[in-house]
Amino acid sequence: MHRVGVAVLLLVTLRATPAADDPYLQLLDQEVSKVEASVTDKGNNAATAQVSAGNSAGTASLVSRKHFEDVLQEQHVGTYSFYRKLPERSREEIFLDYSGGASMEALRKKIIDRFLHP
Amino acid sequence: MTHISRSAWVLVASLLILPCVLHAEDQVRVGETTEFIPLVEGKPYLHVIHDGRSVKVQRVQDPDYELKGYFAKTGRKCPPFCIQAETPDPSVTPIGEVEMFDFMETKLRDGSGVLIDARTESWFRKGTIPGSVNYPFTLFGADSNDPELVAVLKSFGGKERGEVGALERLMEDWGWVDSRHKTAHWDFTAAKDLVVWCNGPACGQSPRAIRGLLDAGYPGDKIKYYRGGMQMWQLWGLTTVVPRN
Repeated sequence: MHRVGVAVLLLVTLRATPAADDPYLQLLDQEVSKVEASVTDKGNNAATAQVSAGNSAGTASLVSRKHFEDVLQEQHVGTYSFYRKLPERSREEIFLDYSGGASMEALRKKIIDRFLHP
Repeated sequence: MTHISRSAWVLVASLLILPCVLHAEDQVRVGETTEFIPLVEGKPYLHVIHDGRSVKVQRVQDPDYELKGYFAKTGRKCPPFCIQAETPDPSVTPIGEVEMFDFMETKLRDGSGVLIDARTESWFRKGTIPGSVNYPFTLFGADSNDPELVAVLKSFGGKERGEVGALERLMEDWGWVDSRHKTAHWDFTAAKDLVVWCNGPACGQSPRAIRGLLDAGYPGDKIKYYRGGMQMWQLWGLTTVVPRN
């Protein structure tokens, strides 16, 4: 009898576990109402404004291109060897694609294509 | 003698002037680097694709910028908003912002990783980390046969195994076949790396999501926990995006 009681209690506890999320979800909903979406926007605008107004934007691009080349050399040595042989104009274009968020696969294809069809 | 004394004077003068020149160069270098606040040294910003568009991730450049609003608060009701452990499970590695940047530039860009905002949709709508996809933690708490969970695990690169032959199982049991990333129902060998995050160190949503993923058999070594979450992301003045739809 005692064992049956324990089993029932266990079942009830187990069944109650998913339901225990409900008050948590309610609290989460209450909390989210305290968040102002505009706060993050302000942060973004401030960052963007500073970059467009800043004098160091050119320097920043150079550093970033070096980083891209380091990443390429580290991860795709073969592609990097093709990239090095491309004219500066093509390398700049590939870096701009990278800055624009192009995938590494797309960049590698482009590098090889540019290398084979100059 | 005159020559020697002149050379000596030149040497002495050089020794006196040189430190000043070096100091001036140092000052210029310091001045140049403090103009722009980079993500990390040598990496001023990065780009990620978010919702089909390229987003530049960088820090707020205003040195007087102060965090305000919800994420500037130091305390919340505990429970449930209690400080979380460094990691929800020993098999899951916690990561910081630098590792997030690397992840964004490598695995996220290559499509071999997924950045998961594990918060409920209403939180996601208020703003998220660029490149994130919203998979609320409630999804991962579902039954392992739940069609939605199955679809998500498949989208992460998991493969349903179907019937596993006795011989194959035996070979796996004996260690003749690599079965580290396999369960009875799933093969996660080619599954993507996941970075899971929520509101910050006092948020339980991503730890729950991670535990759900582990329960479903997702390998712990393919999951990273960004414990800092939105709170630390905003504290560093990093770019956030508000989803369009």
